[in-house]
Amino acid sequence: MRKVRFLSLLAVVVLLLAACGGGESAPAAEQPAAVEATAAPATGAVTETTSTTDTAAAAPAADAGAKEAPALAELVKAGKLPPLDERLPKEPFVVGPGVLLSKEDLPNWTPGQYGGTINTAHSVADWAPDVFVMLNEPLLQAPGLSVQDIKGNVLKSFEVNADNTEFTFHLREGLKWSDGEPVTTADVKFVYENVYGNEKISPTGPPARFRNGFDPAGEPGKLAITDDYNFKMTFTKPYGGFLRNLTIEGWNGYTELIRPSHFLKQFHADFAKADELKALLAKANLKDEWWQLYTQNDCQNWNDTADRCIGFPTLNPWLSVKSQSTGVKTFERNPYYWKVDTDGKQLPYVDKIVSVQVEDVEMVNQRVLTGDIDYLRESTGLVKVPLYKENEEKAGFNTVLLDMHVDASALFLNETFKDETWRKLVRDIRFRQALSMALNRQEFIDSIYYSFAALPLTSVGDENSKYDVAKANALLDEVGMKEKDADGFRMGPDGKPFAILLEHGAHAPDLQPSAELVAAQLKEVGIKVNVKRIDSTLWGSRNTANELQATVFWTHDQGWDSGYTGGIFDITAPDWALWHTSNGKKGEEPPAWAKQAWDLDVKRWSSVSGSDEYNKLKEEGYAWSRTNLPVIQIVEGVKYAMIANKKLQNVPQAGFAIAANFAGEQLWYGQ
Amino acid sequence: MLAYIARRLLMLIPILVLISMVSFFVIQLPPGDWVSTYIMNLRTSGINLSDQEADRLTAMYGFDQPEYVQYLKWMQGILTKGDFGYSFQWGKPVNDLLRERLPLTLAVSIFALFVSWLIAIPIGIYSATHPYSLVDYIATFLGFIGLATPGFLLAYILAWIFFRYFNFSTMGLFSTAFLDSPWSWAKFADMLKHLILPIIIIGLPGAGSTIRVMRANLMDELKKQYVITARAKGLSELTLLFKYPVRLAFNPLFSTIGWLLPAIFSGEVLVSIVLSLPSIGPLLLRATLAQDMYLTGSIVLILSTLTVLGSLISDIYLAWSDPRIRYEGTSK
Repeated sequence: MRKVRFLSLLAVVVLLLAACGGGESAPAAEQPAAVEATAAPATGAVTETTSTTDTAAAAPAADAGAKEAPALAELVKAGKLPPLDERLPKEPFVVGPGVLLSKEDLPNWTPGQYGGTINTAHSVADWAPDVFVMLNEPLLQAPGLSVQDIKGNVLKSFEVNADNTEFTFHLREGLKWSDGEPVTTADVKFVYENVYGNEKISPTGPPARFRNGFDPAGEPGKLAITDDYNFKMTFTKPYGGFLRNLTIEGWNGYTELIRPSHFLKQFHADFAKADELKALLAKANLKDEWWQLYTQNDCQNWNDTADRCIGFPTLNPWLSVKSQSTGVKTFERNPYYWKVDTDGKQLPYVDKIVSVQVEDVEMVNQRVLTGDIDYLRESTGLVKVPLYKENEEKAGFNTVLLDMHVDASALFLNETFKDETWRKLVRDIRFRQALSMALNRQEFIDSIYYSFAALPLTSVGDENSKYDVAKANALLDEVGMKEKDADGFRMGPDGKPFAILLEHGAHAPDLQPSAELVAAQLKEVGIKVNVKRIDSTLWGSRNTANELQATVFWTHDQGWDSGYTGGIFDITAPDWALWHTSNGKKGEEPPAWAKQAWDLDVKRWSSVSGSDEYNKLKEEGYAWSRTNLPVIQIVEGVKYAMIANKKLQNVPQAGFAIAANFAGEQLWYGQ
Repeated sequence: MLAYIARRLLMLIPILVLISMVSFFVIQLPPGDWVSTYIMNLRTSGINLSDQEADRLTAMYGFDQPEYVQYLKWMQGILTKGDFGYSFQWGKPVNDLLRERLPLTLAVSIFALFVSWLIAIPIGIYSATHPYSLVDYIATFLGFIGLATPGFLLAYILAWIFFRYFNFSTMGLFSTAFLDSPWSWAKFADMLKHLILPIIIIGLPGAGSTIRVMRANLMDELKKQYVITARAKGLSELTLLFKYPVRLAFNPLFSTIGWLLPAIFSGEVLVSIVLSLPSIGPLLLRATLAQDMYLTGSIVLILSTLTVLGSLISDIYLAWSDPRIRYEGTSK
């Protein structure tokens, strides 16, 4: 009996060993499955590119005269893909000097060679931001993410009537989806009438950008289809900012107005055959909620890097394809891409993008140092520049210091925080001025931004951004905070101990050091600040729930000339913002000076972006910010580090880093 | 014995129902839901979704339904179809995600477990039979270091050393060259190369504790009278050692299978994050942070079920292998 028990113990060990052996062989057993998976890629056309891309990189000289990538040429030869001239629109978008990026930012644009892979990394689940920016195609565009000099992109061209109410747009004739189907005004009509016009899919109708003055409550524009390639949008009030709203502002894409209706109709109750739709619904575990099925299968531009959108017809330079390894996203060239260079060669130059999921954002940077990354923007840190520089030579990359498209950390004091004493105090502009003057901004610039930043002269102005402890103290005495406790901290105007709870997330690497420096410097004028780092998600929910008393976060998007106006209240006075977005139904009515900001926004949006009137209104917005000090901006003009393989060409030396990222289709590998 | 097993199995049912409810509702406790998290993530990347879009997403994913309805739907899927629901974060069924990650997670955990046992059991036995010798002191010292060093710290240090001196990126499963290539022997070998470090790092703390447990148990047994009796009867030292006290010293190790099962399933979370291993642990962490409720709920449910089942297996094994254990309570 005892022997049996001992044997059983051995048996357990053996079983566990066997399980261990099983673990080892498990990946091997997956082999055939993985190979099979690649045999069924997104679009039939790109199947073969996997095997041929490497040879393309090795012999670029051979294709010097070719107008398309060698892998595509072979597919054409094999009869699996129509010839290039049938794939390109009649008038393709021509990329040359000063088109995607301004000539000042990229003075030496050169036409390139086909081949190579861009390796990069992402750290968020199912979301590769650098790849998304490279893929994204807006309806219209202006060089370097500006809104000055807007031109066609996916849309070929446009005309505007004199009072900015009627916009005529022209599609590119012969433009094709990545599955070869033509793009026509049927796709526009589908989005406007069957998606925005369907109350199940869009309960609130078209988004604000298609409404008078970019106002969520404004009257929606009217769409009129002229023929297969021409359509008109009409508004009841002048809406000069409409064009700007169709450029990349806020990272919108062509999906705002054009989606592959030939593909999506099978999920839409207005078009699908009842029995087929029923079968699809049953497969998706749904009963009658066809609109859920529709949304699960529709891919808007920011879904383009998601695994579920593999195989979805797009107009992007690269297409998402099924990857060979877990946690890796692979993108291969779109054979129907509609941009060519000045030599008539179809873009993009680079064959493939591979982005690997890294579980920890810190470890993204280790991949940079070992040379496993050819391009990186989103996850870089200015604080890591010394580390990048040290390893540049060995790992073969360049660290390019470009502009950041958002303004770095500002101090937000919540003016609608639920505390009466606090509200009274923070709504007194003298208090805000005092705090602004108590900040030694030069110390921020030197210690956090390594001098790659400037004083906030645009948003805060000269007087309020000057470091002046004496004046700050005098102002604080004036607002009723003269009394101090035993530790030298000022008491509140109500005579009770006073402290600001500053909660910040970890959205950017400079938030934490900025928050700590703010606390240290305000201590000098007797203001007690308790700093608490919270999870970024929690920060978001606390902000929305109006529970943050104070925080540091970045402010406006310089990239699109967004002003320091209405948007600021989302964080600095959530209840006022809520009042505005709910048309006065919810939240709290803001004072007149705050309402001015939204008026300015509507006026700016109604003017023609880039016009003199527009530029004047933009300046008015900055002046409003300087006068009212809604937030205490700490610095402006921060630099952003971008990593690019030494061999990559057409990498700009100035401008916004994200604009360089956006112009991914013109990158190419030199020798 | 059979009655005992049957009774224990019956007791599992209410426990599992309770666990499933807790794992579902606890995730809903923090403010906001997956949609608000998603919008926040987009915002940090510069994309501002409109309020209408947010409302639309909320209705689309069924967050506007009462929580008990969501729970019942989820349980119905699991019980009738083995369908654990949908992960919003990954845009994929939970089943697919687990299937993708399970082989690697199991391989690393089980390998690490055996590495730790292979190192620890012989050392533990030697330490116990030669207590207070030089080797014992060294083993004890190393054992405590293994116990006290957090795995993720070790991972960081080793990752740095590998990078600094060998210029080898320890992260992930594959070298960049193999990321996008189909399976081949070269890719498989590359994966094994990347697995060595995690297996060692994850195995070491386990080895540390196993050495201590083995040594303490065995030393207790060695003092007992049956050992002296056996020795007096002239049994050779080695036969004596392995036939009686070592076997008994194993019992505490096997009684911890209850904790090992969930650990093997989830993998070591922190080490996996540091080394970017696509295992189930980091998946759970991300899902929790993003309030991806069906994914979190499913993993928590599976882990809890494994813990409960593991305890049952341990108990049954012990009851069966050790005749001294009685099935009834002591009062009888």
